[in-house]
Amino acid sequence: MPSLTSLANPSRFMALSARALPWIAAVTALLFALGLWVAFTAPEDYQQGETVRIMYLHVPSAWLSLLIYTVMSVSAIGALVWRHPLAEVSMKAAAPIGCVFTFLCLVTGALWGKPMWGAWWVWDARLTSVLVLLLIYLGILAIWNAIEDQAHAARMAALATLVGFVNIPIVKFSVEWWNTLHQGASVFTLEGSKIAPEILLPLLMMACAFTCLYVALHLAAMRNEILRRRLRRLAILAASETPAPARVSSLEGGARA
Amino acid sequence: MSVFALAHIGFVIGAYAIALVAIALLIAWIVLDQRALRRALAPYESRSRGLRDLDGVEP
Repeated sequence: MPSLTSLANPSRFMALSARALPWIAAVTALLFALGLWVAFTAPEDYQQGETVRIMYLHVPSAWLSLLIYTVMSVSAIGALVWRHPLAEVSMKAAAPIGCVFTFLCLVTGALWGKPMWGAWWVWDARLTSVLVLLLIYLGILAIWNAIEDQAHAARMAALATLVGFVNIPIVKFSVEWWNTLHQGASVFTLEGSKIAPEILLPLLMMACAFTCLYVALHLAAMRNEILRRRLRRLAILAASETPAPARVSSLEGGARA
Repeated sequence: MSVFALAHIGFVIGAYAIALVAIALLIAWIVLDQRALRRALAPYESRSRGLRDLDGVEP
């Protein structure tokens, strides 16, 4: 049986992910088709009416924004402690995807908040901590783009990711620690789900579809990052091979002149 | 569908439209990035394959 280290080898990862990606993409498409059908045929909420359908986008996006940041933090530990190249690749590839899902969470939340609360935005603890999460994602993306030396950028991004992880429990427990306009946890609670099964089923199906989409996007983005590193290495190798004769010939030319 | 529901349908359509556009852009960015990288890598890879062939090593 192959060890985890051998599976985490970039070449083996490329081979395995190439085989897995079409299957994950097919499952994602199927789950989205089923999830959207169930979401639009589910009954409307007795208080919120049709706007409850925004929940099928908003809640999975919110869960993914936290999940992706957690994946980034685990990768950051792998990059800092073991200096594993695939951990760096995973950390870098996840950042833009997490950023998009956090943005979606905020935008769909605003579109749900306006008809329900009468406001697009309120500075309550849950909304503010998710906005901070988006800013952390943007900061990490800025680090990756601002530092040219990729090894240095990886160390800085890993440190920033781990420091930013402090915000994850704040996002999760903000609705319990402070009085917020945002509702408390209602899907996973110690007393069981507080949501009617007719609404819970489409929500869970959409959450599965979003998670599969994230897995597919993360694998594809990791493959791109591995290709980018291979391209950089080959370009450096080619540059170190080709200019040498050119330099010699120009020196020779100069000596003759 | 009630009048209350119809009044808010624009918010539902807006949320789904924004989600569709954001996810489509993310997928397009990743696919286009991969194509560009494959194109940029092609000359290097054909060259290294050629060198391996010259060395008599199986590619």
